[in-house]
Amino acid sequence: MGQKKLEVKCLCKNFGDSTVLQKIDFYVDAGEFVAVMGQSGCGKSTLLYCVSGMDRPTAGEIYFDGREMLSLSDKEMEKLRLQHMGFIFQKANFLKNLSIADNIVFPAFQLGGRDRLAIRREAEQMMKRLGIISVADHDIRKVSGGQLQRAAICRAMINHPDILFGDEPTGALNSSATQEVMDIIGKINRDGTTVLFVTHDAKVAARADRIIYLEDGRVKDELRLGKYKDPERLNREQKMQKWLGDMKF
Amino acid sequence: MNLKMLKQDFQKNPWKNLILFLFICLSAMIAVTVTLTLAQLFTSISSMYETANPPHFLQMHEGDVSQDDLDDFNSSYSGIKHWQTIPMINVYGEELRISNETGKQFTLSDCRLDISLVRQNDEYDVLLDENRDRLEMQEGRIGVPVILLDQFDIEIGDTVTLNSKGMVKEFMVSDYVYDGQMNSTLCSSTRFLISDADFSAMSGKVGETEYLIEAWFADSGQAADYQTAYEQSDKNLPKNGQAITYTMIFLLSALTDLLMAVVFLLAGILLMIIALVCLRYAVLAELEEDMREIGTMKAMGIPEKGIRNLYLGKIRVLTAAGCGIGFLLGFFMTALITGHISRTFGNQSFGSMSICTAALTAAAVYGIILIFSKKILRHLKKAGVIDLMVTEKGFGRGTAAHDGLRRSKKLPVSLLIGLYEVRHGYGIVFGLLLIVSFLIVIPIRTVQTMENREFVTYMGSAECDLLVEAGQGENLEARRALAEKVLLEEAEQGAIQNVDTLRRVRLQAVRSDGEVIGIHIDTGRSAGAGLKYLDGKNPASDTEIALSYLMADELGKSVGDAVDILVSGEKRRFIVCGIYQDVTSGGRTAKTCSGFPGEQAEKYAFALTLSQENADNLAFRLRKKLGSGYSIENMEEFLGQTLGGVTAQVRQAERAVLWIGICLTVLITALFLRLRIARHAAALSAKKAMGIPFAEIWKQELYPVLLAGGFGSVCGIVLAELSGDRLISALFQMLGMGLKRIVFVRVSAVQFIMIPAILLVTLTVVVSGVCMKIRKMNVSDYVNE
Repeated sequence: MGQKKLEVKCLCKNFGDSTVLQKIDFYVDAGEFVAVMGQSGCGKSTLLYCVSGMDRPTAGEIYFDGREMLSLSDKEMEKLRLQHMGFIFQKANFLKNLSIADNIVFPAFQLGGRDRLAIRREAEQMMKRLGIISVADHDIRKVSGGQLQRAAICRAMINHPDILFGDEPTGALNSSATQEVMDIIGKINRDGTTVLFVTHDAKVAARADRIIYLEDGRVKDELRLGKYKDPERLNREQKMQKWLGDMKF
Repeated sequence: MNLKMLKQDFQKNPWKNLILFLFICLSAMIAVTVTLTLAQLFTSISSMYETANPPHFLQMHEGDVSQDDLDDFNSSYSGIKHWQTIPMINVYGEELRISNETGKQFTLSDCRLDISLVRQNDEYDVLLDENRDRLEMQEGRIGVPVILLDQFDIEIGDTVTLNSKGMVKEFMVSDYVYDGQMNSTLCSSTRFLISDADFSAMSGKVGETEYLIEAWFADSGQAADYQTAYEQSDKNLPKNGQAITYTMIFLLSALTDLLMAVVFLLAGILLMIIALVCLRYAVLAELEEDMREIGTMKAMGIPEKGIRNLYLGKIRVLTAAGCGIGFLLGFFMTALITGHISRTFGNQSFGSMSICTAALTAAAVYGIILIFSKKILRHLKKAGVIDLMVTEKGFGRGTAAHDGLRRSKKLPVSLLIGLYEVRHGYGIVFGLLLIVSFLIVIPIRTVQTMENREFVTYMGSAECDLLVEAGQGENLEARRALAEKVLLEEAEQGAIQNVDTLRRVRLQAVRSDGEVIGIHIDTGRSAGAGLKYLDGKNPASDTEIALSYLMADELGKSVGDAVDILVSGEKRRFIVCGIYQDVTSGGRTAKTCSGFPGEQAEKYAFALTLSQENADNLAFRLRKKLGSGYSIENMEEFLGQTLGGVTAQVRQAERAVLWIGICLTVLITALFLRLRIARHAAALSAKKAMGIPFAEIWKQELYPVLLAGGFGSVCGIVLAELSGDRLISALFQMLGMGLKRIVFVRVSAVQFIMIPAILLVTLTVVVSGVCMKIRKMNVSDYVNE
């Protein structure tokens, strides 16, 4: 077992009278790839937004690299997210008036502290690796959904985050684009970045080392699959299906 | 259904709808206010004229009047309805002391207008009370002209003591007089009303007698022909004084309020444009927001007209409500700004005609907004289902993205983002600030110009430190001699560096068509020097003459033409050397170096250039040495007294425009930003999710607003500076005031910094306020929408 990158203790979240998360306890080890699954409305996304500091929980404790997150001020939380966390959403949510490449370098420029030319070169390298260099100077309205999501991954990784959060990152993609994006995320994880994302797609979740299943705002169960290896894909998926069947997913 | 949709829409976008409603409401209110103000002005004047019956032709005259010659001439003139000769007792301001029991005491020496005491007339040229009823004065009572109340604190019950030629007479102020013909500070005289008995008792014993020769026609338009015939007549008709026709009387009466109404009209038109621009932005933003729903409706086969009507219905309800409330508010607004009309022409309630016209105006605003909305909604036609639902291209308003951020090396990221963003949809902020700055600058610059001492050059006088005038009245030559003696003494003592003396005579000039018209000519060694000429230059020899712009127009002469002046029945030829502007004496004057020694002088003016002496000290000394019968003023006083009423109104408009401008800036920018945040909520949430500090997000929203607003404001100021004086000149020219080309005075550029600075601070406050919404934004609500 490695060092804990993220640890959550007794996390609760209410929206008015409605309780969304109830006494959630879980952790993510450094370098681990964890997927969160569950039925619609079970609190997956809320959990992700709470642990990534975008939303404040009603009660509980969250530790990032051993540091209590909830005691941080808004400014400190922003700095933590910009420096150490990357995000991918279902939609890219890019700035409309900037090109693909400009959207990618934007968080790094905003963080500062690095040579801008170096950031630009690094962004171009990433775009090359992800096969989107040809659309670098394109308008975001003129590229495909798969290309946009790959660009979103570049943007999320430009500040070399310790952890990458994903909220249904493949939710709006077709199956081939989903494969491509998951290959990239898998590679990022193998290169050392911790990954935590929520999904309702069993095939996508099968890429994770561990799967946490949420039901009615509580952790119902978890499944440990180990590191993903392509030849084992079918076995993992079958194991997943069986487990999800037990969960009545 | 529309009401239900509107209710839901109001719940969803309360701010957007409220601001749109406010704009429609304000546009309707200003349109109704302008209509009612103009209706009020013309109805008040007409209503006053109905009872007051001001003359269609008026000739002032000092000296004897041959009533038989006058009666002969008028009897033989067809179309004349009535004529009368009114005697007036002219007194000097110094001779009238106002006092009361509380110890208040002052004279009217500071009054620039010639003061006359008159008795009431029977039917024509009647002086009225505030309810437009004919005033009757009892013995020992006096009616004070209402236009003096702006300058002097005179109350009912005060005592007016007249001390002239050794006779002392006390009156009690019993009424304020509303005068149909002398009701503006732009006129040269004002009339106090006393009883017939007092008038008879004082006539010939105090002051000097002047006559008003008045005529009425079946059609007031005949006055101009009558004036020509009067001036050409070989009978001994009284002509020693200023002549004026009905048109000018009306114009002088209405000018101050007309200017106010024109300023409001311009503001109303611009506000309407802003409201339409806002509406366009709001509707297009709404269409973009509802892109998927519109796509779905189109996919279902709902015709474009049906979809359009859904949006139009909401606009109809909003516009009808806005126009209705604007219509009602217009009445309150009119009541607030027509105080001057009531003060000048008496109280006037809104007539049914005014109400109908105002209702029609509000209906016109409703119609314009609806037609414009239909035009905007044509965008619905432009986008197909695929554009709306698959490619999300929308209604084709997107512009190409920028690709420069990654190449920048040093500039702050938020500034760069601001620079890119400013080119996308910030035209509304640019246009708004351009219009607002333009509107704010115009009245400010007009007041600055009108209050600047250089403005005297538009009034037929050259700039000087002190102006001493010996006007019409008895012993003019003796007063002239005394003034010359005193001024020479002061010059010898070193107080005065230079004295330019102008002698005004009234002669006749021959028009291009051979007709003869009266002309006031200022003669003197330096006559016409120091004026700003529209064309040509000042007279340099005895054969040259400079004409005022209206005089040149009337004579049909331009620079280089010859003009004949009748001097003692003989024609004397002059060459027109220059054309200048003059608002005094009805704008019909001339300047020449040639003297006319045989002609009786109307007035002497001494323009003094001082050496080291303080103008106020010298004025005080001169008043003491010269006594009554002179007007002694520095340029600022001269301007203040002549144009004070007009500048006060423009200043009031200036303040109103500044506040309206700031309110517009706040409202429109807030609307724009709220809509922008709604449209870009997902991208803004993504920025928050990435950890971009709020201060940076705020800057990224602020910079484009400041850039667009600042640039707009500078453009508005430059535009006002380049075209504002032409606009004002056109206005004055349209009013026939003898001004054709006014040039704004030069002021330090620092004075211009204040306007953009105030507006940019306002924008910063608005952006900061609206950005609080971003701070409160819940990321999860938007990122996956």
